Amino acid sequence: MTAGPRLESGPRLGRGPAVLSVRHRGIARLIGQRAVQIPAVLLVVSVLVFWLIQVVPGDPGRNALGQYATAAQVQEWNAAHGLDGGIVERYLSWLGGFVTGQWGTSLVYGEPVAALVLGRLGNSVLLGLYAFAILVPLAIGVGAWQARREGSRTDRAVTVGLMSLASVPEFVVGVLLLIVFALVFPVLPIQSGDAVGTGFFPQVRAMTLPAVTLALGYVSVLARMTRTGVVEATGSQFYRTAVIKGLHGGALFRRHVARNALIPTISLIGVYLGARLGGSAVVETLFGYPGLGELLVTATQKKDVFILAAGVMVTGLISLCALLVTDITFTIVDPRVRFTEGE
Amino acid sequence: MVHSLDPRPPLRAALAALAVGALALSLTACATGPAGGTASGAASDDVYRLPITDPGSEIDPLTVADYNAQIISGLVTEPLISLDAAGDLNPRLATHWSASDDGLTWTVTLRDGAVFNDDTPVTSADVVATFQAITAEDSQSPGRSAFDGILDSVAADGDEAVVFTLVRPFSDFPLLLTGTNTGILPADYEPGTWLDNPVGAGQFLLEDYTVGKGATYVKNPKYWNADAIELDGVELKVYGDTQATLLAFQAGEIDRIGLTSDVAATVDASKYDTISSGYNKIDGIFLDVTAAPFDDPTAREALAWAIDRQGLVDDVYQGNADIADDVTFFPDYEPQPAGLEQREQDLDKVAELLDGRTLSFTVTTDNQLFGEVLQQQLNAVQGFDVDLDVLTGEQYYAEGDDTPWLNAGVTVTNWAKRVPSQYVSLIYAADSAWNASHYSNPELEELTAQFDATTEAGERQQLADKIAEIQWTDLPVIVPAFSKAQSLQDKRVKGEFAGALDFYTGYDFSGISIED
Repeated sequence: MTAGPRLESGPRLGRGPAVLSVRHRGIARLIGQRAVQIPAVLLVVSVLVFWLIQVVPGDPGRNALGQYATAAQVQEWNAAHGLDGGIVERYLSWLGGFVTGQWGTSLVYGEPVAALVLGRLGNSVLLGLYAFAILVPLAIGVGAWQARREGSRTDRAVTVGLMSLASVPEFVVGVLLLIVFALVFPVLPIQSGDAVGTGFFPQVRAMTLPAVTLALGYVSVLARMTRTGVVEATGSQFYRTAVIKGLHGGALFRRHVARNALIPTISLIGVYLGARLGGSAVVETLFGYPGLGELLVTATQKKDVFILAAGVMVTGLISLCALLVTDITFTIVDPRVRFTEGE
Repeated sequence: MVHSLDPRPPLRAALAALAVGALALSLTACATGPAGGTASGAASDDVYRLPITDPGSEIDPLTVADYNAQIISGLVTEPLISLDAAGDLNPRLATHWSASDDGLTWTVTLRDGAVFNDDTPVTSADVVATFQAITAEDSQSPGRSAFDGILDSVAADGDEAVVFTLVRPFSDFPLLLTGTNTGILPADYEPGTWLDNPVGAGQFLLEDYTVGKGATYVKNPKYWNADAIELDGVELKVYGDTQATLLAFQAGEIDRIGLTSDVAATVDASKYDTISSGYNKIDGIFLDVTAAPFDDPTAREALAWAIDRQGLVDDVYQGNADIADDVTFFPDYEPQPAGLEQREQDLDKVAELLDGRTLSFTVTTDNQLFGEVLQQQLNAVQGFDVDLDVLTGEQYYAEGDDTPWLNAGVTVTNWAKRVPSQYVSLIYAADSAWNASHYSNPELEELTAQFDATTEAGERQQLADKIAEIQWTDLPVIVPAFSKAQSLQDKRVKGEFAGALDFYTGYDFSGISIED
């Protein structure tokens, strides 16, 4: 976890343009720090990927040519695909190509890695955004609704329901949806791959089941966090003061509850977003959605180190950038965050 | 008024927009179109839809090795000869084939008027170039191993005939022409470029192939037998999960699914047609005859008599197999060896052979179900103490001198259907790279060479009997069953497939139609 802005509990720096200036400089410094940290992290990750794929059993040439190919044929295939040198030599060659945009050719598919990875990334981003379009309003709505009925029978019932949902693995939720929409209520396609690239509405239809599966995987935690935040905010001194001042209804909730209650939720959303936009291997594989996660599963099974390395770098970059955006959003939204000089 | 001075909080507006958007998208998604629509609008056409998994290799007809990659290219390319479900040879680009008197040359006559899908005629030069590419010294084609030690050279005899010259007489040579990677390509084909220009003389044209999604095909109007192809096209859909494949079949999104134990347990088979395309493989139990305990022939024999073969057929193959007798002659092959006692589980004989000994060993395999059933069967027999080591495919077939599938004491390995003498040269011959039993018997190899060299029925029968007797007696490999490919098929499909779709023998959709 990289360093982020911290909650300043010391003397306040005051209000007005001076504060804004400090805050802007702090954000700039934060971006600068991450601009150094992110490449370093990715470098370590790429080394690990190259090393790990080397030590796990299996041979790309054998995978490609099957069990009936001779050992000599497998060796020739590996040599023809640049896999016969030392690992350091191959890593440096790949790294040089990667930073200059030459990501190589897939060992499995024989197609350019950049086109494969970026194409699949686009699909995963679409799916992730759709899942978030379902997740965020649903979770926040449920959490806020629960908070306003804190302690009631419905609050407890919804809590039990959400905890139950949280305990069900994503894969099981997906299979249950598959069963329901395949056999009982066939109004949505159970496989998404067909519809990709065929137009907005067909694609949205095809993405609905995987998006709902992804959203349901996070809704309980996010709703729980929202509920807790709203309960704490409505129990705070500033809330009581606002009530005493005569504020009530929507304005009270917007100005004094939502902004404070959602800060931890926003932080969590940022983390989730980074993970989701990089693709979900389980859900994409289950629903046949051609996303980056599904591609990386195949690359791992087939030891396609070029796809795997590029894919991990891309997903890592997305996750780290999402964290950065989260931290920046945090500093903007949370009135308690202050950068001190020199931080 | 304080309220009126407040700007509208952007967070709330964003959430509201997200909520409305998500609701609208979801409602739209549920409201429009049928559930099982396809990318190419193929649902309204007569399209046969098959599930595949993501192929594990580049799509090139010369080098494709797994089923998924083979069918992607195999629907577009056309072989000289194909094999049907009964084990008979069907003419495709070849119309006639015959051997010389000495059995050392085979002349194949090509079909007049056959063209590639780019309108160029299929000539002998194309056939020569294809087989030279498969069998070249630096070839990476998995199909090469079938011709190793058999095919010496291939040459054109005019535009419409090809002469295959063999290293040694091989009476089953036409069967080799039905095997992996034998689809004919143009002479100027550049390896590795097939997806750029998916050329072939087969029944379908590749319309689109997207990694991770699948492939769509339309009928090739220039196919030499286009009138027999009633389908408008074929669609291959990629599924990454067996449960999803099964549900897709039940939902009517695909027309066919392999009849595995999971499928048999889940699907009401009476709602579908059960189809079989004949024998497809053996799962051989390979015993290292150079190391204890199976360097002792009585130990090998005791093991062979301890196996409940019908139990394996029921529990491993769900009945889609025939009991075998430790020989490599598939039941649809002629001649069939005669005079051997069919081995069945005989515990008295086992006790007699073991004479109070206990055989302790480990079965190593990547076939978990087979391994578990075998282990349970043997551990229920007095005198056996069996461990099981199930490896992934990558571990089992790992490269190197110590690869498990060729070095462990007892292994279970599947071998695709081949002619009997090929099995001898590949897994029984002393100099074979795949002789996992480390077995050697010059007499067996000599008899097999004689078998390959003759086409005289009586002589072949005698030689088959002797070959089988050696395999049955020496037992370097226990062959408990001949497995069949069996599938469930949607009843909307009419007609009978000539050959297998489950493995490459020259895919053939002639006579298949879709009932709307």
